[in-house]
Amino acid sequence: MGFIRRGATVLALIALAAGELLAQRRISGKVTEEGGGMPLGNVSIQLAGTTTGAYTNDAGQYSLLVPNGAVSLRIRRIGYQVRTVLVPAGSSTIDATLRKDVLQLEGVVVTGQQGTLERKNAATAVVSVGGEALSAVPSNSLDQALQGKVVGARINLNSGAPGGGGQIQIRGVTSILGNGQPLFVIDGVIMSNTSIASGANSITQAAGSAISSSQDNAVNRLADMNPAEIEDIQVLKGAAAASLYGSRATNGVVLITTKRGRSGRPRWNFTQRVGQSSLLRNVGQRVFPDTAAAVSAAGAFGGAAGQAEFRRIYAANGNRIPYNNFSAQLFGETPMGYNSALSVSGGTADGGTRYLASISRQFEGGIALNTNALRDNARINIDHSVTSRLTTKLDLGVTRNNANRGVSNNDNTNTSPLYNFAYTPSFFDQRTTDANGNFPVNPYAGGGGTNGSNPFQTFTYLKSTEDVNRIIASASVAFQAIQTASNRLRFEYLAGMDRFDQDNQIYSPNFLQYEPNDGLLGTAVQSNGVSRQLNQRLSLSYDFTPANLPFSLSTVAGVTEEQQRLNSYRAQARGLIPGVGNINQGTQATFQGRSKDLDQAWYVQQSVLAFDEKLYLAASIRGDRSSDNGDFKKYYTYPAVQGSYRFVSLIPKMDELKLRASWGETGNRPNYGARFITLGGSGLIGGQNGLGVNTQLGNPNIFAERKQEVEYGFDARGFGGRLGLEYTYFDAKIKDQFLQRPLPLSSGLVNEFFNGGSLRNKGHEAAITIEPIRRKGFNWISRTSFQRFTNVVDSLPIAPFVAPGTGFGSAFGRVRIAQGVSTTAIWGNRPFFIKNAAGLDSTQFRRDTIIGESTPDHEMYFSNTFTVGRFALGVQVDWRKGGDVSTLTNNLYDEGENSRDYDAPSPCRNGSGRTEICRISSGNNNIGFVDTSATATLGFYRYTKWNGGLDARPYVQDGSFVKLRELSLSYVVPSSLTQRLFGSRVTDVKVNFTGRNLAVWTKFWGADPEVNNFGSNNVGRFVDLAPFPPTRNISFGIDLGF
Amino acid sequence: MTIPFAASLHSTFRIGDGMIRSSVAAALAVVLFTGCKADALNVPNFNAPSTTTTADVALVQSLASGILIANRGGLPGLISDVGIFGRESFNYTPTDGRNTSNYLAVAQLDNAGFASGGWTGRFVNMRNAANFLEIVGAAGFLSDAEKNASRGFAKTFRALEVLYVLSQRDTLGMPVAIDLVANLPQRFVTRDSAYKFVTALLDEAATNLSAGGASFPFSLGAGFAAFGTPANFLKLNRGIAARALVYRGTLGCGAPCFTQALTALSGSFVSAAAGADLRAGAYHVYSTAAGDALNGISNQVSPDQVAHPSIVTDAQSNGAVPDLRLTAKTLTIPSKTPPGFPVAGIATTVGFKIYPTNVTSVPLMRNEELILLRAEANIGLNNLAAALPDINFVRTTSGGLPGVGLWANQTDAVTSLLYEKRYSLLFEGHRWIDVRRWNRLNTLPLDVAGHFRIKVQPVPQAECLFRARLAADLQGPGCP
Repeated sequence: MGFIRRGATVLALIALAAGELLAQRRISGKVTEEGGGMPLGNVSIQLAGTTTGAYTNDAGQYSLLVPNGAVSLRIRRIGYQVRTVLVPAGSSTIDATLRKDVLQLEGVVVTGQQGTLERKNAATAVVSVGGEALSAVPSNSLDQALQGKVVGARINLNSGAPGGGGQIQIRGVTSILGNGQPLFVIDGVIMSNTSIASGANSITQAAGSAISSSQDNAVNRLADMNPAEIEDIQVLKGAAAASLYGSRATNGVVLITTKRGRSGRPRWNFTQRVGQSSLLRNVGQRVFPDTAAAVSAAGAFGGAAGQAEFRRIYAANGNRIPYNNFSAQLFGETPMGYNSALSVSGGTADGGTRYLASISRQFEGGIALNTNALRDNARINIDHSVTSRLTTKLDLGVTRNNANRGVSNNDNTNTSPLYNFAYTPSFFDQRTTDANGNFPVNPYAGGGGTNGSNPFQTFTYLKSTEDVNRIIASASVAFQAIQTASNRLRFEYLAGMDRFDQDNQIYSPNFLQYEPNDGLLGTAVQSNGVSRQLNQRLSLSYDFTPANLPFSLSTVAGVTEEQQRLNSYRAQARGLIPGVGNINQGTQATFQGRSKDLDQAWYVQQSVLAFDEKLYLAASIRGDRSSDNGDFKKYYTYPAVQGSYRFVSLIPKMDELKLRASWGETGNRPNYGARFITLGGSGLIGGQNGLGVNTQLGNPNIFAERKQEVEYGFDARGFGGRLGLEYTYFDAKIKDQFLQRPLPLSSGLVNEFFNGGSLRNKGHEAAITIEPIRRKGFNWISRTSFQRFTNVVDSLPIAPFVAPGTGFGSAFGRVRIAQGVSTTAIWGNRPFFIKNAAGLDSTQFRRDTIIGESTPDHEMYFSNTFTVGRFALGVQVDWRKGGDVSTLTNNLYDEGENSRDYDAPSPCRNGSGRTEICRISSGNNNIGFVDTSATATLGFYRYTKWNGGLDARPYVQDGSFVKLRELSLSYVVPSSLTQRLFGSRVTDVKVNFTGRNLAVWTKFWGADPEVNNFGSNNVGRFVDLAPFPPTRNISFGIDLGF
Repeated sequence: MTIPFAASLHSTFRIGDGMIRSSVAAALAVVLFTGCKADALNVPNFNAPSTTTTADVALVQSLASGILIANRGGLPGLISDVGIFGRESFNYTPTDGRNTSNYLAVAQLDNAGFASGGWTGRFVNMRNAANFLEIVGAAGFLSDAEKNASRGFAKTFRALEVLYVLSQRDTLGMPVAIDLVANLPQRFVTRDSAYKFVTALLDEAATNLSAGGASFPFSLGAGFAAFGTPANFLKLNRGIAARALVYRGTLGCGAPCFTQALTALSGSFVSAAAGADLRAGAYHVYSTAAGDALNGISNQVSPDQVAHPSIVTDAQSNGAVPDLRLTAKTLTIPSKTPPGFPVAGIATTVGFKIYPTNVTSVPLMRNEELILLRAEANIGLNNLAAALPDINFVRTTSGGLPGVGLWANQTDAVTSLLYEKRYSLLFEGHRWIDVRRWNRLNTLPLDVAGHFRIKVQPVPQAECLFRARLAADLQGPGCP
């Protein structure tokens, strides 16, 4: 469709329009830190209102060509307060000092597709996370690096498997069935954060016999990003802030800006880190108190043979019960990891051409045998000024991401390690091989089949690799058509692409213990996913700054086109020739799914800055049409208005108070394919393909969900920049939900897509930054942020329904969408006891009702940085209060009589059994009681109280936690020492020690309350079912600059 | 699309030469950029054919195969559900105790739980059949005979699906109509009305098949080898009609239905002649080909489907060897217990070998059942002497047991019939339905305290929740 060709024409036209050069002069100077006089490198010196600029070198010096006449320079550096310096017509030397910005109130925020605004004027709560904060402590993915750094977002990793796999949710659930992920934009390129399932379901059969499922512990592809390449991340949370992204922005927009070259001689940076991973929290295994307990557990899933096996082991060990802490054994590796990165940045002295090139490799050892992740990143960013008015950028990022993540999560084959360990008694040694290297054949459980499984054998021989190759590239050209004292007109064209292919290969050899389960020995899976995204944008920005009027106007307008294509295909073979992992052999099954979405949009934003830059007002509108809407030709519009006012020195000690308010709309287009009414392919019989009714009815009138959000708050700064306060309240209504209207099953259909109903999200976000100590040589900065959300279904035109993929039925708890109820409430069975006429408890009944809430009461992030001389200590602690988790892991261990705390006293021990917690249902009109004897155990209590799922509450547990998320200690080596060690070429050396997830404090039974069996999910993020347990990382590193 | 602002915005301000030049360029660029027609946004669906696909013979074949596939899809669930309810089988999946508790121990069956199956897929196939009839009716490329043959096929399967739902929901009744246009919910009709619907539809199908010419315009595959022509398929149609009539006979209709059943059977493929193949019949086939299904209740796919131990203890013997059907269909396995044993259920050392491999065919209806249906109809008519040869034929041929003498009364005959049906049709989805129809549910053993005997399977929660919001006459039995 000539997408790129049309783009090239645009480029050519803009180049033709390039105007003549203006007369220029050169100015130079030096930038130092206020107070200390330390020269500051990497300071941006920019001709105000243009892209012309330069950076200081390590000595703080810069040099810049500017037009003749008086100009103003904007001087800024991350971590310092920005300054604007007026340069009179005759001056050629301008020195400046910068003051540290501990409150992060400075800097620039993005207002739309490409407009920018001083943070101090921002009318919405935009979160910025600098590159230094992202890479201070190594992380396995960008999701992990962002944890605890974005107030207003919930970020969790779905498991501890190497290579990441997480999800980001901004300001709560906006959609039940539509897209629930923010839009990710990297340097203007719309980036895919798709999760493509690995095909692990072929082994686990978690979702039956399908090749893959949502329970495959998939990695979302944000994991391909290298945090060290990132200069800055801005998170547009509210609808007004994100409104210029139209129908893709209800979940917020995450704008990633990568580092760019700085003019001057080539400057090299080399970073080497070496680290180690280990198991953070072990679910453990029961220590049997006596042989009776061991015999009971052995019989539960091993029957008589299992009990005989126990007696044999018992005798063979001299009448002693051996103990194996399986998960500590399997996940007990402490592998090394490393991260090496080399980058070079430089450019011509006049800043006309700048480049940055970086390469890096990160290896993360997995705590289970044969698991790991290896990521290579390379990036080249080039800026080139063809003339002073025509500038171009060319960015290229390449990733290769390879992961071996084993199997985990739910299964029906007893292959997922924790699932297996839950049913295998601890006296049975699964790990020790015999003289021939054979693993013991596990006689216990054999989930989904009479054949057992041995995870130690599985992890030794199973191959499950994921290989991703990715290119994200963009080219842009900007033309400064007009540049006078009061008028500036700029055109920009950008074309971007993001392409990756994900290759998953699984080979499960014939001899693995679970392989006979399906009657076919050996399983091989080959999966490929190819994602191709293209986007282009043509925009203009016009700034009008009248010399003698107290305001300035900015206009931004543009058109965009975005295309996303995804094609995933899988082939599975079962019943393999021994030793051959090729899918040509055996019984084959295939799958293919394709999608393509095409969106076109236009947008305009008009803003005004008035009264000495105290008042800011902006209004914008965007029109969107999408191939996913039923009426794909129709433009749907999304307006927004926002404003802020700064009160300066209003009251003593309060330097500045800004009040802000905004209202806006964004959309969330329907899922691909929802507008079509189709027949369903139903497979093959007798060699003939079958077609039948598609029970999911499409809707040719489907359109995008719409979020309307009002947001207001204030930002205050006091005590000479040592106290900062931020507070935001938002109230969003998301209407025209993309839903499935149930049809009567007896119609032969299951449901139909439609738009209807609305959600309501409200929340508070607050942060306080203080600098309690600011002395020469000693500095302490403390930042505490707080967030609290509520999500509720405002209206629902259909009967309450169970949100898909959110749990395992009423016996364990899952989400039901019902009017007036939280979208993240956990619904499950619980009994109610009613008194009869005589006042006795006689009748009980079971109801599927709300038994938990997965959205936390609140979350708080505590970040403290201490700088003592050349040492810096950073600590980040995350606290989540509330947030219930459905822990099936605990249920499995109790069912297998293998939970670590099985023998702890039951709360009903010695009880009369008359209290609520000791009662169970046992048939209609019949109240039973759990074991209330003097020896009643906790594990038995939980399991009997659960009562086959009649009372789901014992396994819906409080997921509150406190995590020591990040710790970093760094030391800047004095130059006298670096010169002795490395010679004079090396300019700076920093050594650091870091830790991630060093400790967790929680009463939650499972390994980690942040995991989720179902991967990325809009509403169900609370299912703990045999996950790959979370990992602790420590590392030692050295950064060299030369 | 048009972008009016690009060239004209802010034209009131002073404009320099450079701006004019670049504005013209930009305006041109915008025009080019947006030259893309909206048709590009008409992205097709890559993953499934549209309902407006032009019909041809290949489509008719695919839709016919689709009906067979959907019917086959319900078989494992039926056999497993009815097997557990009828104490023929257990599903002792070690990792999920609900495969036992949801069927046997939860007195008010969870309508959102495991035991609410046998509903959605059945109605989907009724809709498939209705949809097929629409397309066939409008197909200019089919002769009238081919259309009739096709109609007979689709109506027979639609009736069979109704019969399955009815046999699992029994007294709850069910909706039988399908609204292809507006998808509106249909009224529940009583059990008896639904049986009448089945019989009438099967009779209609029989009429169509009789006018169906020499062949179907599609292939039914290897499982229907004996019924591959309209004339032969009519024999299967009559067999299904006999099943429906016998069922209804035991549910209040009595003699008229039993008499009609005998008529239907005479048009079926029943044969109790010496050397008659008891296994002759219609089967669903499986294969390991890509896209095909595996036998979901086979030992290979579902090794946790084990047999109730009473199958061994209740088996009769000829004095020396036990019932041949026992030895042919079951085997001894290492003891298996359900999760939560011994509270949740009992251990068993009996397994099935009826469906040993993942491609073993599963019978839809076979001669052995028809012979027993004939016996049942005769017993229902209290025509015991006529029933005796059929019972004894099965008993001796299939079971290797000595024949029984004429029963003293109908009650004894029913006992005898139910024994033969139990062992002849073991794990084929019959016993629970049979004992319920003859009010013999109390003969099913209760293995542990807390187990109970289910009378009807609940209507799935989604259906009853949907109906709870409708007018009273559309509500059906409601949610428990």
